[in-house]
Order: sequence, then C-alpha cells, then structure tokens
Amino acid sequence: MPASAHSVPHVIAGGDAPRRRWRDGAFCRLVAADTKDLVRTLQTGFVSLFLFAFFLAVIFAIEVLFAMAATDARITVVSEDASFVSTIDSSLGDAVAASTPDAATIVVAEQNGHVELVIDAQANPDWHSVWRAVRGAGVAPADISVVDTDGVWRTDIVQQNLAPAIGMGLMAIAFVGAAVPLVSMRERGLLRLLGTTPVRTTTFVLALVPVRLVVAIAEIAAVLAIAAIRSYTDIGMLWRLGISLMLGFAMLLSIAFVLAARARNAANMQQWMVALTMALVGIGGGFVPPQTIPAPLQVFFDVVPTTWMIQAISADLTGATPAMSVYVLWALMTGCTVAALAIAARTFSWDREPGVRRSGRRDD
Amino acid sequence: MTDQQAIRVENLVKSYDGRRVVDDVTFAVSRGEIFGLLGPNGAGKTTIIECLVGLRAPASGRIDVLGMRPGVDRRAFAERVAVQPQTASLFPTLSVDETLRLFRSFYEIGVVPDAVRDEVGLTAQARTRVKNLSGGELRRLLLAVALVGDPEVLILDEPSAGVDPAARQALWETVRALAARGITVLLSTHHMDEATQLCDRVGIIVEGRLVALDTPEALILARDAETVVSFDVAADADVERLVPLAGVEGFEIENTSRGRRVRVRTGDADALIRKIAFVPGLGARRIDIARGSLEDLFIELSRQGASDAG
Repeated sequence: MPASAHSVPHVIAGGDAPRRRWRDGAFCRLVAADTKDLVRTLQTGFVSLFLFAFFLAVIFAIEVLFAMAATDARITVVSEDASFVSTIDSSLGDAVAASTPDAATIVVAEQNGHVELVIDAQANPDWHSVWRAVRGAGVAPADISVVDTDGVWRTDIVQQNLAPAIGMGLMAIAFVGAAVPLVSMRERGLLRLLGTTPVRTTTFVLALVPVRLVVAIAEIAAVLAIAAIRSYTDIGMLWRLGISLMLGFAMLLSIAFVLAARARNAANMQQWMVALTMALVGIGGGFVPPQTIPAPLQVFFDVVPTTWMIQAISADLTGATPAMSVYVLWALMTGCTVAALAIAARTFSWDREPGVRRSGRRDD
Repeated sequence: MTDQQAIRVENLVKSYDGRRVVDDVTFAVSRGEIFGLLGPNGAGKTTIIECLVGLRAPASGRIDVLGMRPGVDRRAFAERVAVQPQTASLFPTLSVDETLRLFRSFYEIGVVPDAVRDEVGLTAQARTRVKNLSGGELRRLLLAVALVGDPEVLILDEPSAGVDPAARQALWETVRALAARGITVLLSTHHMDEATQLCDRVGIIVEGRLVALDTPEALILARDAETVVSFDVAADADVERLVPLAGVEGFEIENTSRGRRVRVRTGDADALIRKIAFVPGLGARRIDIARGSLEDLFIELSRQGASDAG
C-alpha cells in the first residue's frame, strides 16, 4: 500500500466509520453495472446487434439482386378479396405509374371471387408498388399472391424474412448478449464472489434484462418501421404483435438462463450460441422459404419454441398465416417460459459445488 | 459450539476423486481472534476455506460459523460472514468506487463505501477501472469488497499474495484493527512472517491434515528444543570429544575452507556453549546459535508430511 495511504485513519477498524442501514437498490446498481459493462465492452453488444443487422442487410441485398435478375415483363397480382376493386382505381394508377414508368398497362379482371391485376410492361415491373396499393385498399397480405408469366409464385423476400430477422435479433440478444456474459462471469470467478454476498439470484438475473430490453426495443422499432413503410402490418394489430414480441423475448431470455445455468467456458458458449441462433432462425423460416420444406420436416420445425415465436410475430408483422392460432402460440410460449424459468431457478449455479445445501428459501 | 467461538470445525473431511484433500481437521476460532491456516501449496487450506464459506460441501464433519451452517441459508450467512477469495475477478469495466457501491448495495447493514476505499488505500484509484488496477491494488479492492458489508467474520484466502511489502504491512494493520474491534479473522497464508506477526493462533495444514495448532510463540518454543549451535574447528580437531557432553543430541560436520564446521543440535544452547569453550583441543570459534522458528517447524512438518505421503 502506498505510504500516502497509511496516513488515512483506520476509520473502519476504529469503529468510527459511518455505518448505515440502507438498501441502496441492489437491482438498480446491478442494472447500472450491467449497462456500463455492456457499453464499455463493445464486443458483446456488437455481436448481439451484428447478427440482426447483417441478416437484414442480406435480405435487402437478395431482394435487389432478384429484382435485377428478373426478366418477366408480365406479372399478375392476385387478390382473393374482390371487395376493394371499386376503391382501388386512383391508388392503383399511382402505383403503376410509380412502378412502371415505361408505360405499362394494367388489366383488372374479376373472376371466381378473386381479382387478377395483370401488369404488362416492357421490362420487369416493380410489382411491390401494386401489392402495396392492394394492401392499402384493405386486403390482408395472406389474400394477395403474385405470379409471373410462367405461373411461378413470386415472393417478397423482405416480407418473408422480417419475422425471422427480428427473431434472430432477439435470439442474439438473449443467447449471445445474456447467456455468454453470464458464463463469462462464472468462468472468471465473479459469480463465485457474488455467491458469497447476500445478493438474491432473482435480483442478479433480472438485472440483466433492462439494458437488453432497450436493445431489443431498438431492433423492434427498426423492423416495425420497415413493416409500416412496406404496408406489411396493420396498425390495429400492433397490440397483438407487441404481446407476441414480449412473450417471445421473455421466453428467449428464460431459455438463455437455462443454457447459462451451469456452463463455464465463455468462448465455447459464444460459438454454440451463435450456431444455435442461426439454426433456430433457419428452423423458424429464415434462409429457406417454408413452402419448400418437406411437410414432415415442417411438422418437426413447428414444435420448436422459437418457431412459435417467429410464427406469432410473423402473423401480425407481415400478415403470414401461422401453423396454429396466435393465441395458442402465446399459450405455448408462456408455458415454455414458465418451465424454463423453473429449470433455471433450480439449476442456476453461483459456482458453488453441487451438493452444497440450498437455503430452502425460494431465493437462494 | 460456545458463545465465544465464532468458528467451529469438527472432523472435517473432503475428498476429490477418492483422494482426501482435507483429512479429519478439527479446530475452533474465538470471536475477535486472528487465526491463520498455514500450509504449503496444495495442503488443503483453500478447500477448508471454501467449505467454511459454503462454496464446497464437506464429505463429512461439521462446520459452524456464528452458529450457522455454511450454505444452508446463503443470504443470512453472507450478511455476517465475508470472504476474500484467492482467485476472483470483479466487473472489469467498473471503477473502484462503482464496484464498492455495487457490493455495498447487496448488504442491509454496512459501512460507507468511500470509508472502506480509503481504509485499504485506494483513494487515489477511486475512479480507476478495475481492469487497469495492478495485482496488489486488485487484492486491496477485493479486501474492501469483503469489508463493505461490515462482517462479523472475515475470511481471507492468501490476502497478501502479490502484494508488495509496504502494502502487506498496511494490510496487517487493517486486520489487527478489525480484530481489535471484535471481528474474527481467519486467513490462509504460506508467509511465516505474516503468521508469526499477525495471527493469535495458527494451524499448520500438511497433506490435508492439521499437524500443529497453537500460538506462534508456543509452536516456536516447542521448536526451540532443537536449537542448533554451529562453530568452526580446525581440520585436525578431535570432535569426538563432543559426544560425552550433556545436552548434545547429535551433530553434523561439514568440511570448509577454514577447516570444519560443526552443527550441534541441543535442548540447552547456553549450557552447551559454556561446555564447548572448555573442551580441550577443540578450539571452537565463530560460534552461532540458530533458534527454532516457525519456518523451521513449517518446513520440517511439510517434509515429514511429504515423506509420510510418499
């Protein structure tokens, strides 16, 4: 100890140190510490955001490439809902003018209860504008389909992957941004030290949530902005989308706490978590269009909890049709969250040796 | 366990993979006492400490700390018993002050973080981030973290490891002052001077067994029975004349450039020196007396333990 320190009176040992009964908000202090740790340690925050941002960039790039590579001059937008025809004329005209400046023609034909809007242009027309015009007339996304000259279904890459993108973002925050730091703390002996203090397990673990929730909200806002600009989502269904996102994020965090309950190697954990995130996004409908997946395999994919989350989000974010009712998906996600939290509470280790008796209290 | 006892360990046994690393250890520590666990590396000191604070479960035996069983009610236990682990890290990106305020927030009752920071001599490092502290500063911060909850029992695992001599002296002052205030301190060390100067009593652990337990003075006195008297004699001196002398328990001879160096083990060094001076033809000169030290005892017991194990 430096000599200068010796001149300091031994206030503690002398019994004169200001002793106080205070509870200076362990939760708030832990949240502040966690936030500073995340902000000052850029790596974890960067990896969490990178997967989401990279995935978004890739799907937009693919959309641009598809548009550049397409050669069809004739695209048919089919609406199963014919009720909008009388209100669509002006907006449709604007859409066609915007999308096909080379004097394309558009023919609206109503037959067998559905409407076909055939866009006939000199070169590949931007059918997205027409799609949005139909959406703007109140037709649900699931009721609109697009086919090219050969009768092949044309898909909106962004629409199809927006829910997997936010799913990937939330998974990265939970699995990479929460589980990995927790394991790192155990590996470095910090959890062992914290385990010798009176801090509650629940306080400590819940303190990891707020800063990650802020990052999640930022990602959700970005995705919502894209969905709104491209007319994928209905304002009236935002409440349902909000619940799906909230339940999904809670489920992912609880699963992350289970995964991090005992692990000790942060480097391995990070590799596994990135791989797991990618795999689960694939299973949930990212990377590969669900309609191309064999039905038996899709049945298996549909029972994976993260698929429930992506399907529930997708239903109200981009108007996709989930395998089950959104309300059933909520129930399943809630059940999974409760089960995962129960498992995490039982298995979470402060790095004490297994066999050390627990307190018998709810919070150990 | 009596009211005066803060820590009571009875017949503690701990095994890893069938190997006993703590073997039937029994000791008690009184309130306000500074108790040292002394032993070579790998002797089992850290395992005993980890059992004491509930980080490890004993295979058998009983531990009471302030009347509580470690690990049974972690929160109640941690409010009164603090530990400075041998290896631990803190939040690397937090400053010293932020770290202390964070740990202070875990305790119902404690001391003001700034006072603890000043006490351990980290005033100048108040805003330094943990990752930028030196090894010695980090040890001091870990001590401050242990003190911030104003514990009744403080357990320090190798507290002076990596700490410079001046800081060690200051650490000892702090520990003495804590004990004077009634706080019970149990520390592990392999520094003999630390055990001798700081501890009221020490227990020497070798190969997981408690092989000696007493005050440092009593242990040294016991060792003193084997004081070594050394002196030089001429190369042709008749050292066999030492054999009939009372008090001589054995001697060793080493050839040197000046002749021969004789080392005589005795229980009464003063009487032996008087006799040696009058042995005809011996011509003893350059007489030294090496009284037993805790270090001698420690080394002897360690070697003994190692050979027993071998």
